[in-house]
Amino acid sequence: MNWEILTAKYDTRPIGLQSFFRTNLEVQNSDCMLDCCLGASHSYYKVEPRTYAMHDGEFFVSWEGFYQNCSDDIALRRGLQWTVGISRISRSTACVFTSLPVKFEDCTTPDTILFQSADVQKWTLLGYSGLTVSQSPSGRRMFYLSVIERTSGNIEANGMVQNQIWVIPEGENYSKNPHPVQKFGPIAISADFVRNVFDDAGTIRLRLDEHGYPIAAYRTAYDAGIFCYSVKIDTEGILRVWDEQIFVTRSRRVVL
Amino acid sequence: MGRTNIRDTIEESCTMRSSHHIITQQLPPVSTGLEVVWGENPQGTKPERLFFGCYGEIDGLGNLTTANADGTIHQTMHGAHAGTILLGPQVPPLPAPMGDYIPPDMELSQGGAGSSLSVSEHKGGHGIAIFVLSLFMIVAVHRRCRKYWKAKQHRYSMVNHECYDFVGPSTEVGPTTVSYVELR
Repeated sequence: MNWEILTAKYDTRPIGLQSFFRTNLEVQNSDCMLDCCLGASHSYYKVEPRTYAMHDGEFFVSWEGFYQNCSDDIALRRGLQWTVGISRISRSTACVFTSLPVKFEDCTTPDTILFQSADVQKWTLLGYSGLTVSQSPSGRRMFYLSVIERTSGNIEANGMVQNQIWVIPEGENYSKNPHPVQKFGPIAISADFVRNVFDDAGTIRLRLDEHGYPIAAYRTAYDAGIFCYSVKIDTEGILRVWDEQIFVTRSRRVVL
Repeated sequence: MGRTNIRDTIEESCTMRSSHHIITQQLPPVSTGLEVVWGENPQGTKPERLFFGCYGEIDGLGNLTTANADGTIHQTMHGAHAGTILLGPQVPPLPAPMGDYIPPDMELSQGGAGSSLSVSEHKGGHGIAIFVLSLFMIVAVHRRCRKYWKAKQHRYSMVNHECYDFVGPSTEVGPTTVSYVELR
């Protein structure tokens, strides 16, 4: 998947665009279900990069798929797990500004693991644009992801599906601490979005204060509308959410 | 604008119509992309304006729609689908022709390697220059971009973006300078 940041020069016409960061991540999906860690520090299988974000000059990508940390003995025993993660993208010259695809495993490093399960049925699914970043009073970077989850029933039999925002401090690892994610804003959406991934339908926008801490969050939620929240993160990293407002409802009418 | 008109407008802008497009055959109407223009109070949590796309309008292409703090709603760009929406910096306006509506004039140009898209909308008039300064913003994809909709393994997204400049009509909020950069 290609990703590029451009700088724009507005005093020319057409607007002058110059590449600032460019990478082309390609996931190798070899059939390695038996021993994917052979000679590798991290193992990926059927991983799908989803959303990119930039914060303080660093670049991140959210992804989902089967993942294994090959340097972790416990993870080695567990084998590949269905995982939702965020990785840091390398800015080495071998990984950016090359016209050739680069391997996901060569040019990213797992940064935060939000969820892992051996049961694929407990899957989650990320939208394309649902990743954003803020600072927090604890000094840790916070990630916000728009996540689709199955809540009941079988997806193929039109089970219940919801979209909500997951918030997690950078550096957390689900396998060591399974409860780092804070969630808010659950809303039922059509199960059709599970079978047909639709990009740009789960966007999150934050308003940050002078410290880079979030004070408000807005989101599009697939077919459910547009929602906004007042938010605050305390020094313990606990997120408080209140004053939810719906700007556009499922029937596409603005609530004034 | 009265409440009825608002509803009419938003429904007209965002309601799914019958279409043979592959996406509309499988998915319900969906809001896409989002950008927020905040109020001047740095601690305020209410927006002055929201920009978002409503997929599913004419020919299944969707509209870029704007909701203002005063409750008015309008189509910012007819027949457009919003992907990622970003606000650009406030910059001096480009020299623009005087007069009323100027029909779309899309010009293709490369925006660096890889996939990118830039759409800028210019509207002339000296009296509106200050307003243009305050409204330098980023929005959606013109209807021409429908050819870029791709379904790959049941994943729908806009790909192979190029760089556009075009001149378009004014909106309810007045003439605007609009630009868009899609980063993939």
